[in-house]
Amino acid sequence: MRPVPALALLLCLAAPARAFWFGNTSDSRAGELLDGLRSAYEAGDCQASLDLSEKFFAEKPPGEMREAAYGYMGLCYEAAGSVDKAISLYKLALGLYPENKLFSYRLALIYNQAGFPQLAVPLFLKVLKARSDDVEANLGLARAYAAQGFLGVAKGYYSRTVILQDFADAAVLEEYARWMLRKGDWPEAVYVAGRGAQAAPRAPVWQLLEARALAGQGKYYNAVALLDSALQLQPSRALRLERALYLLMGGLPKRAMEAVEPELAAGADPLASMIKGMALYSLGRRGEAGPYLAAGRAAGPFTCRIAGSLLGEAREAAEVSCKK
Amino acid sequence: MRFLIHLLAAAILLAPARALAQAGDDALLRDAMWSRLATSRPPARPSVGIALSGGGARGFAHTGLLEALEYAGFPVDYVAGTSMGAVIGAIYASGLPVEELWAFGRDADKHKFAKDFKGIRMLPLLFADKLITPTYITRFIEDRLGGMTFEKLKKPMACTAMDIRTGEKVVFTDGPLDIAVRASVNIPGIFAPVQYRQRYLVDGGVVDNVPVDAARALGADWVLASVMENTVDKNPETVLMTLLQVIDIRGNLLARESEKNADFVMRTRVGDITVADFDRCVEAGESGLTEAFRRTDEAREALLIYAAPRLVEKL
Repeated sequence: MRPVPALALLLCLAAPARAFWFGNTSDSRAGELLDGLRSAYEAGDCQASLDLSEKFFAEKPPGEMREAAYGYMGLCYEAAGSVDKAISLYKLALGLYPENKLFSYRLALIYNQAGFPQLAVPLFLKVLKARSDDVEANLGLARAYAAQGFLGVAKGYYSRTVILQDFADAAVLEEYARWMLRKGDWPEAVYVAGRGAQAAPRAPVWQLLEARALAGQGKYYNAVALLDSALQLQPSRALRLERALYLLMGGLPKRAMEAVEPELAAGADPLASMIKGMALYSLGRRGEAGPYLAAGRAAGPFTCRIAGSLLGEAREAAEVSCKK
Repeated sequence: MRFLIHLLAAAILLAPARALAQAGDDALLRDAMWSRLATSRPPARPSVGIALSGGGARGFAHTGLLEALEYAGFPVDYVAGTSMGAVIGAIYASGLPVEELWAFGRDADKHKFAKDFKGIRMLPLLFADKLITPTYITRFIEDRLGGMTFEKLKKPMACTAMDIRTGEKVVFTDGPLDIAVRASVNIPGIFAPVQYRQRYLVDGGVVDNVPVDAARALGADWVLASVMENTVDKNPETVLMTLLQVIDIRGNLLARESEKNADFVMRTRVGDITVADFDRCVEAGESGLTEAFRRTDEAREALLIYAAPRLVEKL
């Protein structure tokens, strides 16, 4: 027997070796398993998907198939809440396929959610380097920068995100406006709130955000007017009390007291009590203010300390009595 | 018994909701009061001073702190600084925006501050028996602050130095700014003392690394101190680095005492950045920003609690 045909015959008979030479049967088996893995994931059966992955890798599939499988596995680990496993897998996969956008993106999202925005930044940047108009990566990067306090840089990415979304996502617009309030960037906060009002006109949050931007500049009367509009859209205790606070800060303690009366009449409301106590204090009626300030202490640890300060308590004593 | 179990279960279940409601109410009151405080001027609110510590390149973290304070609308009426804190404080008090300070950090290479340190050779220094003048640091200070006086600053400022002959702390609040700042950054034993007003002046970090008292003496009712946490945990490899580290350790010990007089302390960990790592200024600044941002609400609350009686009285 001549050696070459004999070798060819042997290769045809031995499936794994044949797969090695021709890449057919084993690859197609792996392809089937990958399809199964994908279908299970899409059907929400992550356990089945992960079970299939073991069989899939036993087939020694080619690189691009492995890459896809890592993606489904990572998403399944995330869905199952196994964040540690998902991180390990994405890190491994990124080592093997450094250009893969999904791994960078998912890992960055996990880091952002887990409170490690500094680790998310380079990954989002990598995604954006490949595709600068990726909305989710722009948003993720904005969030990562904002969480670390780099609000100036975050503003750029938020801005790009909302433009890419054509100012249509009210939730993102609200988030952006809130960060701009935190940055003390009043014009930007007002502008974004205005765009938000176009996207979701019936929501009172836009008036609230604009009112806060005005209050931040000491324009309390205008802020109160906006809160009146917001209250017409959706009455709420929080809005009423914020309005009362702006009346008080704007130097109208009597009107502030009137504004909290409905809350006080409805039952014990520590913050409403606090506002009334502060209003009485500012009017020089400290004796009357005392019981309201004392009742206000239950509004929260900070309010409790403010009440202590107004009641003339020593700082250390207030710290002890207001411990969370 | 069953009633008690139900009561306990209800209390456990409702506790997070109550905490959430409290956090919401606290935030409402804090933000409203803060808006009033941030838009008021003394005497309607207490005056606020910042005391910026020394720390060489690590002291660039103050830039991040200033940015975070700016975002929060934190009022700053007085500035006091020692060494690097004096450099940053002086530029800030002169009215330049914080962005300009970042630009100095980014351009640290161009300014060649590191050369003043890297150019130091201890052996020639010992043989020549003559202290050197930090060429690039002096040039930078003269370029930025030359011709300015404390009186011309947008915010009143103090900076500290030490008279090497007497060990006295010298606090500058008037006269030429560049000389005072130059004196404040002048490392003893390496750089020649600055001769001014019959004194031989060296780095104020040796006697007062966090000038809280100087800020109070300017008129601040409430003082926020910004200090660097000493996290360099390595054996210095040169005589120069040993000297710098000794000064730094001494400064940190002093800082702990001064901090007790501050109303709020922002302490920034700047990792392994050393006092001479001027090419890592921006990194230090970013650490300062992150830390200050993380603690801004705490600082605002501390100031509001202190300010409440006056603030509410003056409504």
